[in-house]
Amino acid sequence: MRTRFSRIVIVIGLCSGSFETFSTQVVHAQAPSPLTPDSPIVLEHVVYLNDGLKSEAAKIAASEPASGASLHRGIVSRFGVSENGYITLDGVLSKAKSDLDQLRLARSQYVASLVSAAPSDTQLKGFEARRSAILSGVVSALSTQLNASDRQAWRNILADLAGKIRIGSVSNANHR
Amino acid sequence: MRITDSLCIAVKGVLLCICSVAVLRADCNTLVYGGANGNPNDIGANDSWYSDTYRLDGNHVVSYSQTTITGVNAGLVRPQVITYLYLGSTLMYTNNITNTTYGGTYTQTDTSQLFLNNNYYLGTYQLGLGSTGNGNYNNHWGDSPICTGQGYPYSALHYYDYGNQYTAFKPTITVTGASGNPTSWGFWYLGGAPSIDGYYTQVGLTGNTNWGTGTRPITWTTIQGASKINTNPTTGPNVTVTALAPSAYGGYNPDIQVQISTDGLPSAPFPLFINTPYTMLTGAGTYGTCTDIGMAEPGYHNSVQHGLADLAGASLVWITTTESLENDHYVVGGMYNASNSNWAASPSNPSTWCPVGKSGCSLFWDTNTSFSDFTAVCGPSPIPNASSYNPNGTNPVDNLTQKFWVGSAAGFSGECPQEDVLTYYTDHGSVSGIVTPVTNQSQCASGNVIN
Repeated sequence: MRTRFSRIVIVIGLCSGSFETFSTQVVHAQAPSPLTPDSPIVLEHVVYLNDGLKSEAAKIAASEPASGASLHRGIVSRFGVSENGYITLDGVLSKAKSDLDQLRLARSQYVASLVSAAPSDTQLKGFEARRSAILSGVVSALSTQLNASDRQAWRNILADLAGKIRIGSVSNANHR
Repeated sequence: MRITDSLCIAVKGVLLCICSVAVLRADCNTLVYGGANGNPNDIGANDSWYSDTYRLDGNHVVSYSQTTITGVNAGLVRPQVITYLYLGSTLMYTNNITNTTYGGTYTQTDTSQLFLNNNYYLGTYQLGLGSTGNGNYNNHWGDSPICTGQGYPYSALHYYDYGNQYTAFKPTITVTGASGNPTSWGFWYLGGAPSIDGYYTQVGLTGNTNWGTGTRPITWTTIQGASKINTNPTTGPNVTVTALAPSAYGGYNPDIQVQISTDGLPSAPFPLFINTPYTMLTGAGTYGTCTDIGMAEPGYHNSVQHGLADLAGASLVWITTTESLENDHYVVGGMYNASNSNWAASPSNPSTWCPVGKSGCSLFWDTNTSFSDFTAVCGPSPIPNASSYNPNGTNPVDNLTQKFWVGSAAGFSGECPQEDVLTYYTDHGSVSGIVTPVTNQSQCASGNVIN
């Protein structure tokens, strides 16, 4: 059989890129998104979860001083780490929270200044890059500072949240 | 990064493709109208959210719901969340505070106290109840006043969710080793003597927090009748309660209540009733000649039959009971004294009556609810000699104070429900001056005599 080479097409270039498709419907507790436990989104939720629990515990303890210790134990239990592990975890997460808050403040101040001017593409992307860097720092810090069992607990809490967090686009409903 | 287009050409049978990549801009135009090619899904901002309810400690359930905005345009969007916390189908709290900060995470948090101002708030907690059709969903979205103000009207999609359900229960108390789950329990006070013959003076109780796993704090408190029990230890899941005093007379009315709490959330009171041998029922028994009981004449024997009753007046089933005999002396005003009688010089040995078949005992109850105390004066040795049984005889020789000690094989140990005067007549034995119940047990103390 004679081969007709002229009919053979060889593709030598492939286009690649990352696609993120999100449900854009109004959703009622749709299936969990395929977030990975080490996603920055998950990390940010954990950072604010820790801060939220601590703030809430402090607020309660202010009116019920006797409950302070048990509330603290409850927070430690939520993260599943040892008491020493939580000290480390809280230190890292609190530092990240502080950094993220500073970033938010700077970004908010920048946005607030844009009453008449258009935002700078470079500025906004810079803020987002700093956010990613802060959250990456959380991962690297905890991977070295936690012991083996606490690292496993840390992975468990990330996996737990990754399974609960939903994600979607905040598309403008006026332009669908 | 999104691939927006590609151009491919075939050169000598080889397809060459050139990829063109549009980089998403960070600005209000992109946020509102979409990416470079108008893709409304590609606006550089994502919304992530979740809602959760968690038992923070024994008395507090915390609920939190977060909205996080990420992406290059996150700085132009304010994350918002409205939450609805339900207990069952009752809306407890609504959090609807507008967040004024752009980007990042916004959290709404509620804490519910399960026991507050003597009221329980137990049941199923859930953030958002929309799924049942009986309430609201939590609402997550973002807004952008800055872009709207610059002529880019922005109205983000809203996402609705509900969190997990958490059902909070009271802590509970159960009797260790008991089948079922009794709502009260009775045990015995035997004057401080330990458990005997199936009469238990201690009870083991188990506290269950009914939340979480692993070790949870449990504190025990006696909220009624504290002087009647000792609880040891006072923390932890398992305690032993020892009776220190009986409940009040007049029925089986639990007048002791214990309670556990976990971080301040109390259980329902657990009633305890402590029964005791409270009174004795004393009546005539058998009688006869000395020959009847294998002893030498002359003389007599007769018995007095006794039974025990509890705080409700019900007869007790056999329990080891001992008498004490004190102050044996000749009857004042009688015909006899140390110069013409030797009866008081030979006091009787106190007896112990045991449940039938109990090992180590020589004297037993007649039935499961009565025992007999024999009086016998026989033979030629007693001076004066006793005569045949006559319950109406009027010549007393000596008497003594008799006390009964229930729950013990020794006198002056156990509960003393009765004291009386035991008199030996020349022709019969008699019990008189009965005091039952003995409401003040110190009356039965050694040396306190009534004859």
